[in-house]
Amino acid sequence: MGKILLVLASYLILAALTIVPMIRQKKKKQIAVYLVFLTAAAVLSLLLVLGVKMSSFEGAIIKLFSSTTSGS
Amino acid sequence: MQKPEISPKQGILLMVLFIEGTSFLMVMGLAAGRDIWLAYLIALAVSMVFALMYARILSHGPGKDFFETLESMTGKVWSRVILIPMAVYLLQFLTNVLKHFSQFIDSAGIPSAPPIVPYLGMGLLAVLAVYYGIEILGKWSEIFVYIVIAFSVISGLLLTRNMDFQHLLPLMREGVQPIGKGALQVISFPLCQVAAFLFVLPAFKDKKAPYKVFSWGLLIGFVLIFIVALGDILVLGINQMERLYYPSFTTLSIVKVGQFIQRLEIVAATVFTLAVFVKAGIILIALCRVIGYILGLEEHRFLAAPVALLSINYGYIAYGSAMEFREWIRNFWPFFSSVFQLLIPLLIFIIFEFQAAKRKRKIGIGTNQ
Repeated sequence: MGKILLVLASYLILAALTIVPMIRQKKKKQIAVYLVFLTAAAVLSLLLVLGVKMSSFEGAIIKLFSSTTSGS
Repeated sequence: MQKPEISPKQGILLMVLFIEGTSFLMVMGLAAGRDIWLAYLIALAVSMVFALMYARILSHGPGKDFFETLESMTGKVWSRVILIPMAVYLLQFLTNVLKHFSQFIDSAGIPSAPPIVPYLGMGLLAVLAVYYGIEILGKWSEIFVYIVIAFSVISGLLLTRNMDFQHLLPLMREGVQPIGKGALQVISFPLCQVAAFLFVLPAFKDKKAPYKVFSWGLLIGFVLIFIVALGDILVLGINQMERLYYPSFTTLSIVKVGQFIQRLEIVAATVFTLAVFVKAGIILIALCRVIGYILGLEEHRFLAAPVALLSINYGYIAYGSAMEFREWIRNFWPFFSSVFQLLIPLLIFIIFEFQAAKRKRKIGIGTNQ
């Protein structure tokens, strides 16, 4: 639980530091893009902290080729 | 947005550090076995052709950067379509570089440190590189490149008494195929990775400047990694090199000149860190600029932190173990990266040449009438 809070707090602080000047300058598009990327990074961090197993492109390719070569 | 400016000399020095980057300690081209030197020379010849192609792409619009030229040649929609796969590739490339650094610290530097520490450390430096821009990175490289060059050359010289030329013989025992495989490894990592400079180099007024940057940068960078690879095989031999994650690190630990100069691996680790910083910084700048262009943003620097964090997270997910990472880099990366480093730039090159010829014809017809 502590790790989750730490990750969330870090992302929130980072977001606050960057977004506040953008809000002042009324850069709506930049804020939207920034939030999309930061949310994606935060979700991945949380999933990693929670120990959720995720498959990757690299892992899938390596598995596919190793199963093909071991099968032949 | 103010356009960044660097001199061709700074561009060359950045490219040298970029090539030295991760390939300083992890020698590629081992598939060629004892003929690794031959694979390196073939890789240089092929990569030089591609480097000149990258330079030609940039020289199509003097005073314009790559994005402006691409848009003028293909239009707004197609330029974005072409760049979407490049953004995916650059994200994965950055992930690999950060993973490489973190893994090196974990296995050779400070094994007890949590892997997130080097990840975040290097990620933060790369973010700073984006915030300060290519100009500062260029000036920085003017100082540090000499340290890297001097260390590579001096360490090569200090190793001469441990070298055994029998490690290179017999010549071409396994035939031509392994040499081809080894050459492809070296082309894909690191020589043609300089394709990332397409998105980073600013608009040069001189049409010849991109040629200077790509040809000299590639050549000097190649010489440095060639010295390292040759030193490794001559000291360790191919069998031992294949067993090690970082053969250069082991090779440099052998150096002993009197009581004073010995165990140079700590200097190697420092040089590796300096070069990786430039590599990660350049890739992150390229990635932010590409994403910024695709999304039609005026400013791209604010993307640096979230994109770097995304890449760090992906690094954790992408590879199950150090072995898996090594397998990916040695066996899969050459084929995967060829699409983005060779095929897509080749496609862009063909489009540019076709469009330029079409415009020339139009101008010719106009003046004749």
